[in-house]
Amino acid sequence: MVKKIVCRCHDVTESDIEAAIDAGYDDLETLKRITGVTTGHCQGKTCLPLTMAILARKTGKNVNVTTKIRPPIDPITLGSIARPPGKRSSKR
Amino acid sequence: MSEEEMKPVQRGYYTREELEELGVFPPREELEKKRLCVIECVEEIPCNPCAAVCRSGAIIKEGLCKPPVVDWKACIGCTMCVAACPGMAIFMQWIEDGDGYVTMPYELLPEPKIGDRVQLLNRKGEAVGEGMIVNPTYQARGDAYPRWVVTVKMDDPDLSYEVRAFKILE
Amino acid sequence: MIAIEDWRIYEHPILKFDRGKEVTIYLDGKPLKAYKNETVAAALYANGIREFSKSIKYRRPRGFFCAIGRCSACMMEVDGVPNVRTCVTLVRDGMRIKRQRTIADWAAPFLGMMKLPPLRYMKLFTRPGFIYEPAMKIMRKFTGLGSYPEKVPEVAPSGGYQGELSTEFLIVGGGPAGMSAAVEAGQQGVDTLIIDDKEKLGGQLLKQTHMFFSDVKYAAGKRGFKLGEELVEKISKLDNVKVMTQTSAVGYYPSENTMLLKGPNDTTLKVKAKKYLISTGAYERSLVFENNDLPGVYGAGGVQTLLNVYGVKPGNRGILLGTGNVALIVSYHLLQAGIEVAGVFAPSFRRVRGYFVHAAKIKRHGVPIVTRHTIVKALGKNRVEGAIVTKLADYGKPIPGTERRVDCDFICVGVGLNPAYDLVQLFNPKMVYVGALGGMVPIRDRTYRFAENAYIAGDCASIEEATTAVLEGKLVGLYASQALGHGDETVPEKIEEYTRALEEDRGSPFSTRLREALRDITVEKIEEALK
Repeated sequence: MVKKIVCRCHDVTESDIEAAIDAGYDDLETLKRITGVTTGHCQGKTCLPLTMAILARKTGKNVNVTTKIRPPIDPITLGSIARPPGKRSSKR
Repeated sequence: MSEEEMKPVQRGYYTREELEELGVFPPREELEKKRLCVIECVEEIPCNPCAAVCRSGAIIKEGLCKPPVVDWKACIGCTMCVAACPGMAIFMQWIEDGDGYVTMPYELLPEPKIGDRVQLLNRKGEAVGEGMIVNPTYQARGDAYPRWVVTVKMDDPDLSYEVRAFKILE
Repeated sequence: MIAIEDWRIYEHPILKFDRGKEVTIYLDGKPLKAYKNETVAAALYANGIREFSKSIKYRRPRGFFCAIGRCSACMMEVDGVPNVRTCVTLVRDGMRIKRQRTIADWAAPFLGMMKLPPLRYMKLFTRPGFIYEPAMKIMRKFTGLGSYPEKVPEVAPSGGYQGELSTEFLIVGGGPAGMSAAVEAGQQGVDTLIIDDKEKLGGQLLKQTHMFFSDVKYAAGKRGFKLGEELVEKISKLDNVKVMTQTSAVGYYPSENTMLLKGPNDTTLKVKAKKYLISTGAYERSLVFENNDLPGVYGAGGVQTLLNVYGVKPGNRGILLGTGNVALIVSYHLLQAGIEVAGVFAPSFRRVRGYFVHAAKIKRHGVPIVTRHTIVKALGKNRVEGAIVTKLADYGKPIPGTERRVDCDFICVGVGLNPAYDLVQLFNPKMVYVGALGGMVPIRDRTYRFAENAYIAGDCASIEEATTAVLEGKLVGLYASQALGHGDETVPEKIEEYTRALEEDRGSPFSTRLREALRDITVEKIEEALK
């Protein structure tokens, strides 16, 4: 079965997105939540512009919209933000 | 649309006739007397290494984005511009004793050596004959990392209007 | 199973590859030859490994796409840690690399054949509510990416949160724009910290082997990597400019004016700066066509990195999609490495999108430049073996019956770049979509500020060339120095000189729409626009 992949991190295909838009999820915030695009490891670096283009093509609306970006923009481990073992908490 | 009907900026090459109309070639009589510079750069792009490196002021650019124009009376055939052009669009051309000569920039392997036999390629990449590498052939140094400047000799002087690349024959 | 292949380039007309000492790495237990300065992905690739991971849901084979740590297709388990981006991780002697496999891999051909009703499966197992938890437990065993071993590895003794730093000027991104800003600000006496996520500064300059255009006064005639070396040299002479490599910015918190940085060896750091410059460049555009995620479909930048930084051939015969400067230049890099280019395809109708001279220099070596065509699908089961292209009557409208197969073992997607919008957006600027500049960009003022305390320069601000990035970086360095109270009397005339040079550089017809777009999104003072 050949697929046209838009979101590599979550394996979301072009037909998935188009079907979601047809079903009424026609703005970026709700589309993102039902399909999972832009929420994976790469945080939309490969799929956000493609998704915006599909959205613009199907709804005819302006592409002048972006999704809310929240830190971290790249995955970090919990260990990296934890206090190093053996170090006392330093309060300023 | 066939290749002939396409515009040069669509198919990636100009024909000799189109370049002649654009005034890219010096008069034939001059080419039989000395080495002259042929610049096949016709678009308006921001670029000026050729004019900056020309020793005799033969290459004139009215502004950073205007295409270069050559004053063939001033050109001394030093080949510095051939080495300096970032777009590899400048060549030296001349005719001597019934043979055609073209000096071209070269950045591929194998390393060119004087005496190597080569297959001659035109602007479309088609093989149009065989030739030999002769002087001046040298490795250009300076701000640009080493780039070869290679001169190829061919039996047919008319080919010097067509040959713009070569492949070294093992 | 793993063939003994070596795809490394040992002879190149321009580059000499300093690979470092030979080391041994292990993939699923099998030893492979690698070199100290290679990344895991480059080393595996050099040994003929093309498939690195399987996708999360349909278990489709994946290789890398971007090769610089942006797309997450190359993730594997390295020394017990899952989901490591192998394209930016350097090898180590004795490193153990494992492919992340799950039970679902056996079902992959089956999963690929399923045509799930698009929205129905997203709501599967959610009703009735009580089946959700157990269903998810089972699903996680089947799919997903990587898992920790039974014993959780300890945090490295040197890892964790390292503390807080203060500086006057923080530059995020060590490419041509960031480095030029560091040099100018440093020369004016500003306390500067410049960070970059790679092992050395240079950004995209590190892999540019071609000579640059524009004015000889700034960068014309120099090869990209030489320009990079010169800028690094200048920075190393400035005592007030500190450099941190393998460090990237992962978050900015405006309420506390703190930038969170991620460093090497699992560390984080907080930085408070008076002024920031975001010069993180751009992301490779992807293209949607059938099987566009097959190993062998690479971004043009990814091919350039593999070829010019690590000296590994991406294949023997490839095609390029796109006829902009990037695609034409990468075709030339491939020819220099002795790789056949079967064609450069794009739906351009009136002309190749890039400079004519770039097209001419590949055409004279016999590379077919095929306009009015686009790709339909990539062929191959586990890696690219060919492509189907079709002729177009009009944009997006294929002419029936014109499909044909092109044999190739890699497809290089060079269809453009998108400015990096994510870190920029954390400053709460006003973003607009501007096609002529490449995508989502912030509104900025005449001093390149897009927020009260933040500047932008380079591809991040508008997709152009390295020479404009250098000039913009220089201007930001000078403006920031003035804003921070440094800056001697030569600054105003330098600002005028560089501004004029930028205008001249943008004077060609290629930049007409860009100039107009830049005029539209530049305001007098950024504080007014952000109210």
